[in-house]
Amino acid sequence: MDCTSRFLLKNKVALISGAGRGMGRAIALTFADAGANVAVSSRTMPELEEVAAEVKDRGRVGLPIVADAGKVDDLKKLVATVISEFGRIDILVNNAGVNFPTYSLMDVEEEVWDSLMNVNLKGPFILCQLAGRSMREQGQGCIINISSLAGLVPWSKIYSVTKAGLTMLTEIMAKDWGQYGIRVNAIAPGLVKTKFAEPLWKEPAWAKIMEKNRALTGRIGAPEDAASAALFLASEASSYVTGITMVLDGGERIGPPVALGDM
Amino acid sequence: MDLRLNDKVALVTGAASQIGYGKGIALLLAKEGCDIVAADIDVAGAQKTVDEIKATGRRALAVKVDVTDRSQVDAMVRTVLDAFGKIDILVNNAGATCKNKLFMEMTRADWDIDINVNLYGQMNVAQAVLPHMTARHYGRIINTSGGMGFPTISTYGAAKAGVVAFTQSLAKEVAPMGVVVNAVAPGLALTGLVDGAPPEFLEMIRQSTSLKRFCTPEDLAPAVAFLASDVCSYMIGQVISLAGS
Repeated sequence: MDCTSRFLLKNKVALISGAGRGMGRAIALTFADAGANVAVSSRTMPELEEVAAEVKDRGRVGLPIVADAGKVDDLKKLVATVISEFGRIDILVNNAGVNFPTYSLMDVEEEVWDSLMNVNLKGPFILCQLAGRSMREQGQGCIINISSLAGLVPWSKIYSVTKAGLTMLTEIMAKDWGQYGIRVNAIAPGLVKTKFAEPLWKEPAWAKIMEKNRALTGRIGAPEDAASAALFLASEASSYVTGITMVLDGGERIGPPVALGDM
Repeated sequence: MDLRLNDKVALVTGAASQIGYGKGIALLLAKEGCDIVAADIDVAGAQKTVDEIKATGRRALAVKVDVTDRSQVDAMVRTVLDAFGKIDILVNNAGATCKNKLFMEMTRADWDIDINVNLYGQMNVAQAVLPHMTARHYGRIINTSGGMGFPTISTYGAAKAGVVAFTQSLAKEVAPMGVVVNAVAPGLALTGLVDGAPPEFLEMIRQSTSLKRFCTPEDLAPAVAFLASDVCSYMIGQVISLAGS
């Protein structure tokens, strides 16, 4: 029983959405380092081509595919392309997500709800089904949903609702699909220094919270934190782990926001 | 992924049972380059674990300890520091049970086994290693939570729930001092802890898991290795549940 080999993804095929930058890119590269061939998807081909090139630099196959994570037809074509190229999908990472700048919950339009639900919850569900059918035939597979701390605490209005839904979907699928040898888990990062979260970590009110958080660990979250947790969940290292949400928040959520210095 | 465990010193309590989680964890950490201290009330068993590790070329030491006895725990820590000079990782794995009794049939002696070993035991060892870890501004502590919420494990479950709360608060206290504290909650495995459990009970548990099988030391050990590693520095006060369900 060798430890390092439990964390390898030798010749596994991984599909990652929202992989052009930030956490998705970090996960793609970490998986490639571990031996996986990686299909990367988002709406932005130039970014995907860069990530695919970085995957190839690591000696693996990198396949960039444009798809809108909120459009079912795009997702069907995405999965069909991956299976046509690689013959299988071993790992699916639902990382694509969207949020909107501040709005009033009382007055926000229906379209905002639909948009958030389509990308953050329905899209992942559809991808899970499409990839899941392939995994069921293979008798094994691994799904990782990128949720958020905002899905566990009521911070971000409709975004929180979608992420809470994704966390529950993870548990339901784990229970339902364990019989097919499919493990389903989620990662809930806190604030991570990515372009997606930039409106937050540049905003004074958030900066104050992050200072308290930084007092705990000396830093805020980095894409590499999610990437190493994703590798744990994607590999045989987590052979008996299914239905969980790994919280990577530097301790932010535990108890009230009190630091030792306050006491 | 480089877990950067090479040349770390790991203290694993409850590492005597040859079919238990502790030995599995100790073996895997040794394969990843750790020197190992196998601590247990059964020192002969701990020595067997140590002999197997030494055969692979790593350094290892067996120490006799009753984790409910603080003076023994303190002596153990002194022994480890004398032998290896440091403790990087503590795996609080030692556990015991008064063996499946309904609460109304339990005695105070039964409660004491469950609470003293499973809760106080982990707290004793954590508190004993922390001055060293905080002085070095480096440490990893992995506590063991686990089963709770079904009949016949009321005080065992109380201890395991206590470990979760203890993990959360301790994590926040010592993170600024470079010590990362988390826990694992392994599912039911066919280890010494379930000796004598009725077969129907075991089958009910097995059926209730999503993966339709019991947990094994080979399942748990890599999760502990992940929490013990340097790549896990932003996960604080969390519980990785290996319930397979």
